[in-house]
Amino acid sequence: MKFWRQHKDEELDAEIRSHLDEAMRDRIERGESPDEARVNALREFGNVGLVKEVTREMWGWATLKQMVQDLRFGLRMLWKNPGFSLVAILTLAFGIGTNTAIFSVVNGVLLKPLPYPDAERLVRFEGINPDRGISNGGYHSMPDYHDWQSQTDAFESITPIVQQNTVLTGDETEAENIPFAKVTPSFFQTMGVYPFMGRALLKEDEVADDVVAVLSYGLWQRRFGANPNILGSRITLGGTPCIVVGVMPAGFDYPAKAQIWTLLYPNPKERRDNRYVRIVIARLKPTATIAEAQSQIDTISARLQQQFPETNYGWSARLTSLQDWTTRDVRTSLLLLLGAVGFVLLIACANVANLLLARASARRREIAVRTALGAGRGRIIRQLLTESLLLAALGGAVGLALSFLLIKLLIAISPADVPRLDQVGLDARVLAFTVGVVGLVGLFFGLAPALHAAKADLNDVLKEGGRSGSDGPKRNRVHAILVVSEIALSLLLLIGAGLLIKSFMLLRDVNPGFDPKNVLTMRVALPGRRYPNPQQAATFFRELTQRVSALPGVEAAGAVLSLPLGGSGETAGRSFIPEGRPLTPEEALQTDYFVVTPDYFKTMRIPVKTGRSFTDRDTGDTPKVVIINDSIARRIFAGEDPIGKRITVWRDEQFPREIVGVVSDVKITRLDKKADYQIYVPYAQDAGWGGMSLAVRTKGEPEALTSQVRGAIFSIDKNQPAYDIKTMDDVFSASVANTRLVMLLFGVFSIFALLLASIGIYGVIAYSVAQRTHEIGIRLALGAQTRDVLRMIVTQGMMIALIGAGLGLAGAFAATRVMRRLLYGVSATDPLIFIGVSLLLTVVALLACYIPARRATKVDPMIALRYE
Amino acid sequence: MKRGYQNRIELLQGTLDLLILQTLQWGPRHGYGISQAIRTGSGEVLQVDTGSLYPALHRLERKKLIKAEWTVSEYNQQVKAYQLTAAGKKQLAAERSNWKRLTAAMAGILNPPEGA
Repeated sequence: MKFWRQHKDEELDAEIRSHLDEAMRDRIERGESPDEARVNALREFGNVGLVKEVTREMWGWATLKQMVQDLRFGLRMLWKNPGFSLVAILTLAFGIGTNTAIFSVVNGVLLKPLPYPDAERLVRFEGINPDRGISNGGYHSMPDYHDWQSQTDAFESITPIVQQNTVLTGDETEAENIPFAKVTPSFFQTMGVYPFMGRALLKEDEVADDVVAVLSYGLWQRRFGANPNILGSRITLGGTPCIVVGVMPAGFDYPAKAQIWTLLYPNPKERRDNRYVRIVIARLKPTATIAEAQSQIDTISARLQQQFPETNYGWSARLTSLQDWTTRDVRTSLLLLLGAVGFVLLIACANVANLLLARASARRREIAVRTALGAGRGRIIRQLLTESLLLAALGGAVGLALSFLLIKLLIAISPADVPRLDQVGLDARVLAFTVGVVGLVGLFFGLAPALHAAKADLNDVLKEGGRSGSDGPKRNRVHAILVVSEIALSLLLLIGAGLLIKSFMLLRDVNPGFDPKNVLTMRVALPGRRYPNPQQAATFFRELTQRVSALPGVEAAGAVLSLPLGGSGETAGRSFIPEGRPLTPEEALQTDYFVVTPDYFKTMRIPVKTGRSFTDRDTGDTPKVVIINDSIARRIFAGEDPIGKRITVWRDEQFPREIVGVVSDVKITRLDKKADYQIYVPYAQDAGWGGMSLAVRTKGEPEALTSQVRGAIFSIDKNQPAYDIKTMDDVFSASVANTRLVMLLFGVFSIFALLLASIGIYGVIAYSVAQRTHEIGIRLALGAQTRDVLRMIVTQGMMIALIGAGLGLAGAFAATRVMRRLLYGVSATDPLIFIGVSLLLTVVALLACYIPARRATKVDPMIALRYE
Repeated sequence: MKRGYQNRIELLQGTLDLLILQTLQWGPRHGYGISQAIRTGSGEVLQVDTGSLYPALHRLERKKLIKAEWTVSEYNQQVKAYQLTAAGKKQLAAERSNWKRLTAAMAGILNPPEGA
């Protein structure tokens, strides 16, 4: 291209030379002397350089060349004002960097499609009971599933899945606990993913003698050394020998990081209200929509409610795309954070625009001279825009580097339950986003100053001579508008942060119903094969809790089916019937069912309100007993003493249990959710549960006892691993981790916004003071008190701040509504927060005005006047 | 730049292209030749500024309405001669009829029929 271009240049030279030669020859022929002819021909031709220049423009390179010129000039300008450039670039880098980082999280978690073929057709069923305002978190009973499967035609396939943990034992390798899933053959068809080696699970496997299993790629690599002959070999899963028939492709770990898939055997005796453990997902037909499928499900649900009022009263299922379901807990937070950083970027832009405006007045003469020398308006605007885009690009480059670090930091501090964090990173879409932001930002903060500069009347500017004249009120108004919007935006962010902080503090003070301090927990899953008899399991846990309680430093130890606050374990949702008085369907709330060892309440410090706790004397042979929580006592036995009353519990409904105690409500899933009904049964009287969570109350640091507690387990059964080891404090913090992170990030962003806005207001006031030095000098010379000058300047700044705050408050009233889902115990328009934060902002703004105002009072009238 | 041109008529936008195409209708010419032809053809009224002529020539060349060739002039000098392409001839015909319509319309407005 360069050679060709040189050739074209030479050709143009030759063309012009021949033109001049011909013109000269004509003139000589008409009688002019050769010298005269040359001069006249040249004069007639005009500016050779200019003709070449405008002709070259026709070749299409000119714009490119001008751009390079503009860029060079822009770089030179930035280099000449290192202070300005540094401030502007860093401001933008922070804005762009945080936006890139948060967007990369949004992109990875929310936007990227799930890694399954046609993943947008996958939907998940959520069991809901709208009348009672409850959702069961997406668990379903097999009979309901069978009806959905057989009576709909919107789905290509539909499949139930049971997620569990189990122990994988090997001949030489250590026993290990792994997440696995029980699935039906339709699972693979629904996901659209099949083993890359071997085969999937088949219908025939249901009646085969051998139990078969499919491994995950990761497990095959890690545990079996990628053995190519793995198919057909035996593994022991939860004590059951299985034959490996397939290995799934790399990266597939649905659901919940499952490492092994085995068959979910059909059980014809399943109850319809056994809405427990089984999740249901389906793949829509390519032609079907979620709405169509939903209406089919609604029809079936309505019929089932009529047909089986006892089990299905009020229950229906809501379909959600699998992607939305996976990200449902974090969607609002992420979008909110993206909005917050967007505001921070706007504020950063406004600041840079202010800087550029201020600098544009310093450059008015330069621009006027360029105009006088023939630069068109378009050319000037283009050059100034090139400069601001250059600034944005540099800010973007630094911001990108910054975002790289921020992403790492974000991933590090994110709670583990944020889905799809591994998908977060800088990819093409994130880079495109950043480039887009850079372009927009460059135009946004560059356009106003550029238009402004190009509009300046060149005569006025040049006539001003050496003096850089003061600006008209118009420019000051632009400054003020920018700062007003900065203040408004930062107030909005601060109020958002304030609301989040307040709800986090309220949430942290919620009484969970137990004492999370100094409790060590771990999960022990006894494999059914090695403990086929419930009494064996009962013996194991009785012995375990006794041995652990005897350890030095241990106050008490107990075991429970599942820990509160979603700690670990399976929550069993059931119902119960008081003797002689069946519950009305309205009364039959979701009931959480727990089996516990006697010391569980003591270990967790769950207060026993009336009656007694369980003891070792409650065994399989003694009368069946039950403990209920406060909610049941208050709602079902209002005004009576529940102790001694009898209820039938779902699991063993052939006989009633006698209520021996009432304990406080415990937060089972989340701190911000009201407690439902809770029923406790002694483990010795319902020992069919292999998987239990051990809780150990310690006198000192709970972690310090980890190895002793594990030792106690091994001393009973050397093949029995414990997993999911954590303290109840960890569980407690994890349950508020999302709120905490959002609060933290929002807080950081809003403080930066406040900082930028105060820099903005400071800049504008300082600039205006500098402009008015002359005026202030005159005022002082005429006898104005420093106090008057101070008041004048501060008033000017506070006007801007108060208008901004007013707009911000109005905006906050309208906008904080979107946060409602993230708030706890505080209204989206909490007056205390609104007023408090506005005051804070006003004080900061006052300070930002005061410093330059103070400087104004130091103006020496003599110097100010002589300066002219 | 405009100083020396006070008593000449400024060419309308696009008119120069038409003039160039028209001039080339009778055979290839080089840049100087085209400017002289327009000047003499208009009775010295239209003088084409070289700063307009050469960009126009290069633009028309890019649009493939004319093509250029280096030849030797009658004075044995290397010159770049332009000539019409088939597309250029078509364009010329189209622009000529446009021009006629335009001038007729202008004339109708500027010289209203008597009695109107």
